Amino acid sequence: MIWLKENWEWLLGAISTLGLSVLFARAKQAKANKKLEELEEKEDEVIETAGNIKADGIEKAGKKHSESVKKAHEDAGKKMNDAKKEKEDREKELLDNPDDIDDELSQFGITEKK
Amino acid sequence: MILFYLLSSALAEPQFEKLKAGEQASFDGRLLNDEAIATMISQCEFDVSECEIKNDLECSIKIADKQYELDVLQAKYDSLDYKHTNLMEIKEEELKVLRAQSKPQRAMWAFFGGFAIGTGASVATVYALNKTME
Repeated sequence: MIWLKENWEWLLGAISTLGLSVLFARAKQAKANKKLEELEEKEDEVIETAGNIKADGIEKAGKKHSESVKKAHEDAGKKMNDAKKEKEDREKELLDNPDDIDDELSQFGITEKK
Repeated sequence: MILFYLLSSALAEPQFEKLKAGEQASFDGRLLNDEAIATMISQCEFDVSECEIKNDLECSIKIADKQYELDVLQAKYDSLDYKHTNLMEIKEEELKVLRAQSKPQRAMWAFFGGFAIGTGASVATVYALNKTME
C-alpha cells in the first residue's frame, strides 16, 4: 500500500495505456464489423441484381419467342393465301390452255390414246 | 409367269382420249370435263405447296422454341456470371477484412502480454531497488 501511494503514477500510466489499447482495439473491431455489414448488404444487392438479370432475360426471351411464333403463323397464313390464289390462277390458266392439261396428265403417266 | 401375264393384261395403261360432245368413247371409263381436270391438277399442286408451307411453319416454330431455350439459358448464364464475379470480389474483400482482423488480434495479445510483463518487471525492479536502498 505504501509502495502504491509512492508509485501511483506507474499504476495510472499502466492502466491508462491498457485502457487506450482496449479502446483502440474496440474501435478497430467496430470498423471491421461495419465493413463486414456493408459487404453483407452488397452481397444481398448482388443476389437481387442477379435475380433481376435472370428475370429480365427470361421475360425478353419469352417476348421474342411469342413474336417469332406469331410471325411464323402470319407468314404461313400469307403463304397459304398466296397458294390459294395461285391455285385459282393455275386453274384458269389450264382452262385457257387445254394443251397444258395434256402435258400435266402426261406427267402423271396418263398418255393420250391415239 | 402366267399370273404376271394375267395381271398385266387385266390392268390397262392409264390413258385419256379427247372427245367432242356426242362422240363415242373407245374404252370404258369416266368422262371429265376440262374444269374437273384443271381442278384436280391445281389441287394437286396446291397440296404440295400446302405441305411445304406447313413444314416451314413447323420448322420455324421448332427453331423459335430452341431459340427460346437458348435465350433462357443465356439469361441464366449471364445472371450466374454476374453473381459469381461480384460475389467473388465481395468474398475476397471479406477475407481481407477478416484476415486483417485476426492477425493483429494475436499481435495485440503479444503487446498486452509484453506490456504487462514489462510493467511487472519495472515495478519489481523499482521495488527491489527501494528495498535495497533501505
